Parts: sequence; C-alpha cells; structure tokens
Amino acid sequence: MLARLSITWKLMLAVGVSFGVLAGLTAALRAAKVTGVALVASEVILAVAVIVMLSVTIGRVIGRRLSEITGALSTLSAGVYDKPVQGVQATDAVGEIARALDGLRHVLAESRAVRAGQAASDLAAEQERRRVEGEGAEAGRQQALVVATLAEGLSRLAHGDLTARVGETFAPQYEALKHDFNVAMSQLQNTIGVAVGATSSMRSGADEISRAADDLSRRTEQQAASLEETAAALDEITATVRRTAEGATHARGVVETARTNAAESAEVVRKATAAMGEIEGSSRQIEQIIGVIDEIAFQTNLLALNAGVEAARAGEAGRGFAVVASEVRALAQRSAQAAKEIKALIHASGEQVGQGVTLVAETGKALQVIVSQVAEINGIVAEIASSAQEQATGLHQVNSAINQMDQVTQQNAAMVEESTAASHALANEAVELAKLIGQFRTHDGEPAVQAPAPRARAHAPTRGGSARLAVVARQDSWEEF
Amino acid sequence: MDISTSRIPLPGAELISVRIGDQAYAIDIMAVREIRGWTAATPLPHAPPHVLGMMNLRGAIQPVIDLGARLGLGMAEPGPSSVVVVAQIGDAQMGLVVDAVSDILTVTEGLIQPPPSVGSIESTTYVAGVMTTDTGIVSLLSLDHILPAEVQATAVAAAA
Repeated sequence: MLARLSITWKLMLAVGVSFGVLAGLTAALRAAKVTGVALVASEVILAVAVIVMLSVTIGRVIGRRLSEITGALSTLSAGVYDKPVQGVQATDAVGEIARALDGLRHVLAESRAVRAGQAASDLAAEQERRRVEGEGAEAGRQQALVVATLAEGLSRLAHGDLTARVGETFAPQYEALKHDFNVAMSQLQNTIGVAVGATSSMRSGADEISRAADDLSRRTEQQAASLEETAAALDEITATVRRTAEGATHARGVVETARTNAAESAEVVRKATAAMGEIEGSSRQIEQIIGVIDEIAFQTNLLALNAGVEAARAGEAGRGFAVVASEVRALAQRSAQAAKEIKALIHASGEQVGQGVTLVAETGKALQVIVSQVAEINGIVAEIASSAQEQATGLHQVNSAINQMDQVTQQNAAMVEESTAASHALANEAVELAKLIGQFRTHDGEPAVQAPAPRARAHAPTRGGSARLAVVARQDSWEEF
Repeated sequence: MDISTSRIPLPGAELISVRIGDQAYAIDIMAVREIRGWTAATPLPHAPPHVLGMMNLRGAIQPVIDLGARLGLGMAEPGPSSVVVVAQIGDAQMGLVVDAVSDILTVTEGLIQPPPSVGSIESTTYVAGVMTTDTGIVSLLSLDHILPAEVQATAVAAAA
C-alpha cells in the first residue's frame, strides 16, 4: 500500500511537474505505469530525470531555491508533511514548483490523515465484529434450541400429531415465535377437531343424501309409471268422450226426425179426428134413415094387419087377400128386423167411432206430450253435445298438462340421476376426507377418526351404470306414449 | 049365441095376437075393426085409471083403454111403437092400447083350452081360453067385460 501511495505521490509529482516541463516526459511517466518493476524503475528514472532536468535547466540561477525545494522534497520523502514548503510566494517557475510541491504536501498530508482515519475506523469495525461474534455465539445457541424445538414440533405435526406444543423457555426474542407456534397448533388442533366432527356429520349426511337420492329415483320411476297409466286412461276417456259426442250428434238427428214425425202425426191425428166426426155425422144420418125405414116397416105391418083383418072379415072371399097381406106383413117384419139390425150395427159403429174419437184425441194429447218431451230431449241432447265439447276441450288441456308433466318427469329423472351420482361421489369424497382427517391426532390416544372402509366406492359405479341404463329405458318407454 | 060358442072360436077362425109387456094375448079377429098406430089420446076427466082418454077415428069419438091396466098388469107407457086395436065390443067400439101386434093366428082343433080354475072369477071373466104356441102360452081374451056394462052403454050412447 505504501508502495502504491508512493507511486501515486510520484505520479502526482510527475503530473505537477508536467505542467511546467515536457509532455513527452509525462508520456514516459504514463508509459512507466505498466508494471511494478517498470514502475519503480520509471519512477526512479523520472525523479532523477526531473531532478537532472531541473538542475540542468534552472542551474545555478535557482540553485538555492531548488535546494530548498529539494529539502522540502526530502522532508516529504521522510514522511513529514506538516512542514511548509519555502518559496511559494515567488512568481517564477521555482515558485510554481514550490507551490506545486506545497500542494503536493497538502495532498499527501490529507491523504495520510485519511489513511489514519480509515485505519481507526477499521479497528473500530473489527472490535465491533468481535463483539458481535461473541454475541452471535450466544444467539446461535438460543437459535439452535429454538430450531430444534420447533423442528421437533413440526416433525410431530408432519406426522399428524396436533398435540405437539413447545414447553421450553426460549429467549425473549423467540417467545413470540413459541407463542405463535403453540397458538397456531392450538388453532389447527381445534380446527381439525371441528373438521373431524364435521367430516363425520358430512359422511352421515352424504349417506342420507345417497339413500334419499335412491328413494327419489325409485319414486320418480313410480311417478313415471303412474303418469303412463294416467295417459292410457286419458286416451280411453278421450275415446269415450268422442263416442259420446258422436252419439249426441246422432241422437240430435234422431230426435229432430222424431220431432218432425210427431208434428206430422199430430196433423194425422187432427185429420183422423175430423174423419171420425164425419163418420159420426154419417152414422146419425144413417140412423135417421133407418128410423124412417123402421117407421115405414111399422106402418106397412099395420097396413098388412088391417088387410088381414079385412080379409078375415071377408071370409072365403078374402082368403087370397089374406095370403097377400100375410106376405106383406112378412116383408114388413123383415124390413123392420133388418132396420133393427142396421140400427144396432149403426149404434155399435157409433159407439166404436166415439171410442175411436176418444182414442184419437188421447193419441193427439200423447203426441203433443211427445212433441214437448222431444223438444226437451233436444235441449238435453244439445247440452250433452256441448258438454262433450267442453269435456273434449278440458281433456285437451289435461293432455297438454300430462305432456308437460311427462317432460318435467323426464327432466326430474335426469336430475335425479345426476344428483344420485353426485351424492355417491360426495359420499366417497366424504370417506376420503374422513380418512385424511383421521390421520391427524387431535388428542392423546388413537387418531380421532378411523379411516372407514370405502363401502360406497365399489357400490357407486355399478349403481350409476344401472341407473343410467334405467333412465335410458324410461325415456324409451315414455316416448311410446 | 051361447057363452061357450061365443067365447071359444071354431077351428078355422083367426085370432090377432098382441103383446103387453112380455106377455102375449089373443083377440078374436072378428072383434077387431081396425089396427092403428099410437096417437096421443085426449084425457077424459074423472075417468078410471085404465081409460087413457078419447080418440077421433074418422070423426067418431071413441074411448081409449089401457088393456094392460085393465087386465091388472100395470100401467102402460104408450110410445111410437105402441098400437091401438080398435075393437067392436057389443055395440060399442073402443081403442085398446097394446105394446105390439104380433101375428095373425088360425085356430085349429084342440088348440084352445079352457083356462085353469084358480078360484078367481075375474080371471075366467077376462080369459076365454089359453093356447100354446112356439113362443109360449097365449091367453085368449074375452072382450065382453073389458068395460062394465054401464060404461059400455055410455060408450054406445056416446057413439050413437
């Protein structure tokens, strides 16, 4: 280092000289920096050269002052920097050298002061380092204790033991770490303990969900079957209603025909009644004529009797007349008898006509009743037809509702299938979770949860496959109706 | 003319059979003057019940007798079919109302029998004999006592 300082100083000296002397010397000086040996040689050469050159150049004129400067240089070379350089007040080149030398002296003095300060500070730093190293040894022991303790705790934690706690007394600066570790472990223990309970609940809940999903799937199948039966019954009802509507329409036609026939029959009855009345009139006229005939027969009989009386009075002379009278009487009696029979027949006919008139009148009344009843039937049949129409409309709505129910049921079946699979997956996950959680020891003794046998794991895939097949079959069957 | 001959006609004689109610009676045709239809009789004041009244026979006023009533068979109800037999009884003529004139019978031997004795003079007074026919028993009436003698006389006087 001193060598390098000397080199620097000489370099600075050369630089200061170079202000007043040759640029080539400066270049030589710079070139002399290449190697340590070359540097020393060049420095010596340079110093000699400068001295020689100064001695040669300045000579005798400034020999005394140069000697002062040489003395100053010697002083400087001796390492004495606090002695001022003489002749700095001069204005000539030697003055400039003196001033440069004095500047060099200041520089060197400052450099030594800096070096001294640096050494002092290096010493302080070393002392500090040693003190720190002393303290570090204590801290290292404390740290090793902390690390070992925490490592042991973390190792137990790594093996799932959550009951691990740090009981040793740490240095004050590590107490927070110990506290935090214990608190963290307590939190973890509590959390895992809660998680154990939650896992158990979750596992039972997942099992319940699985069973519920299975029940739901079964009920959905039953619902689909019921829906199919409902659709079939609805088809039958629709057919029945259609037949009812057709029957009602046909009945309306028949009833209309019956009403027309009844109305025509009423006209026939009226004509029959009139004809019966005419028959009655004719019978009365016939009775009158028969009465005339009967009267004529009666009178003829009387005349014949008188003739017979006269013939009897005439004795033998009236014998032939008596025979004629007798014949006339026989004719009159036959006429009277015939008239009597006709009268009886006419009477009977009249009675029968009267009965016929009564019956025809009753028939007319019955036909009137029939007409009114047929009108009622017409209204009823019309109501039946409209009711059948309304039923058809209602059945259409019911049909659409059934279709919607069908779609919803299919969607439900799909969702039920998904939820069944999800519930079984959830159950498996719960089992896995329980197994994982069970690896932690949250209190003294055995691990909290024994890893349960994954009974649902082997069950789920077959269940899912069969359910999927069942869903496909159900959809096929639903498409049929 | 004795009673027997006058009351029983000889065979070959003729009888008029009449009907009163359901019963048939016979009258000697020689006593019959005429047979007429019923016409309403003009009532005769204070006449006996069997005298229905008077009638005009071609200008002659003659009494009309209800023969059934006179024979004790009950009052007749004359109608259009009733017949009036105008009989010559003695010197008097009168109309006998009957329900009908049935036939003219010819008397044969043994046809007419005496009426049975029933201990009643009235019966034998009015019935001269009985005969049987196909339609039943026919009583032969004796018209002499249809009207009492005084009445007959009155009728004869009236007719004169």
